[in-house]
Amino acid sequence: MLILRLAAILALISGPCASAQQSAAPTARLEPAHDIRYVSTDLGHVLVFTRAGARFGDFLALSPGIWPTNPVEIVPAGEGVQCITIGPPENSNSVQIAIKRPLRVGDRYSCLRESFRVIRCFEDCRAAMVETQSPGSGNNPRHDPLKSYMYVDSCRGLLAYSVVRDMTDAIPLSAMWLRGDVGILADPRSPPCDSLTEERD
Amino acid sequence: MRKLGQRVGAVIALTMAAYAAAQPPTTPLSTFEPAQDIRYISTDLGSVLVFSRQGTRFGDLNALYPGLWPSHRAELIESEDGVRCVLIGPRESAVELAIRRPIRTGDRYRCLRSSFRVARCFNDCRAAIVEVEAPASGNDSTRGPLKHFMYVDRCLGMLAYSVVGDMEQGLPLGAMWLRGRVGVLADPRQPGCEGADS
Repeated sequence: MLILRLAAILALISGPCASAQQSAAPTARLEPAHDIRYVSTDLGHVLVFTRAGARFGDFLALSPGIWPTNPVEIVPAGEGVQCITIGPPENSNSVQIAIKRPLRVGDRYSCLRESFRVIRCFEDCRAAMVETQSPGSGNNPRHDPLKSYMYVDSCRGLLAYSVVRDMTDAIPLSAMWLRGDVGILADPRSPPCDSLTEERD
Repeated sequence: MRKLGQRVGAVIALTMAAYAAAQPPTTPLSTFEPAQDIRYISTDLGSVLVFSRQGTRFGDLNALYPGLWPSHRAELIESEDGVRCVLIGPRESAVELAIRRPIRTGDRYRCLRSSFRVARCFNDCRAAIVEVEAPASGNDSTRGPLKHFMYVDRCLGMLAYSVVGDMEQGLPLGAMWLRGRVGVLADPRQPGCEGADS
């Protein structure tokens, strides 16, 4: 079941381009200074962002020579929303990850084809759980929407990502969590995040 | 959130108060002084564990800041049978965190007073969930052993620590997980671990 779901996600990312549902906005390539790695507790799932793009797959995806890389682009997405797309933005099968700051419980926002809802906050929304909903496969629009879950930090960005289960009680064994200081979509420039750099010293 | 922080503090206090007379370690102790702070923070932001050169802080989110929270001395033991152990607090009442390499499912080992059991392995024991059992308090014989859970990586050391529940279904929201690349008890000298922290 898990493998099938992940295979579906991977197919969504790397599948053939279907008709875009939204006109493509001007984008910029995401080129992190260092690799940003997410690995699941069960070591079955890996998401790595590099200067060359993102690799999303099993443990082998940690190695650049073994696993295909998908382009990652920054997408303009409304006031306060930081969004990236894995896979070409004009591709209806691409995946978006977005954070809207400041974090607020119940807030809803969108980026390209995906919609986001802040479902739970911690410590005055210093961190939050966000539910992501994307339309079904472009090849079969009757499919139920795909739900994913993110755990985000207002300063350090995406800290965990689950495509299988929500995070109501725990970060599932198959959810990928950050192996590093600072995640994708971090924003150390915001005044409340001044301590981000101090804490790393 | 505060309640959880208090609960973690209470568990740690119980653990540190739980032990009777100290047994002498079989190997010399050295002060554990990481080159950089090693931070663990729970998903719910209610619990924090920080290892720094100034000592170890264990508490709520304020424990991120050395001026706001008391520090405990941390010491490191390495035994000849592959156990690497960190003691937090006075030796006779310390919280113990330990990894034995190579990691094997079902393996049991000890540090000074706590016992450890590798409960579950992932990817040929590259990572594992370890159950930690600390002896009950001598002042409260009705209380059973205190159980904690660690999620460890053979190269990167301890990646997560839970005093609020096991990790059978994942990391509980109150479990602290590493916010950095390399955790306490990391060992880049292990075969295949070269460059694991890069």
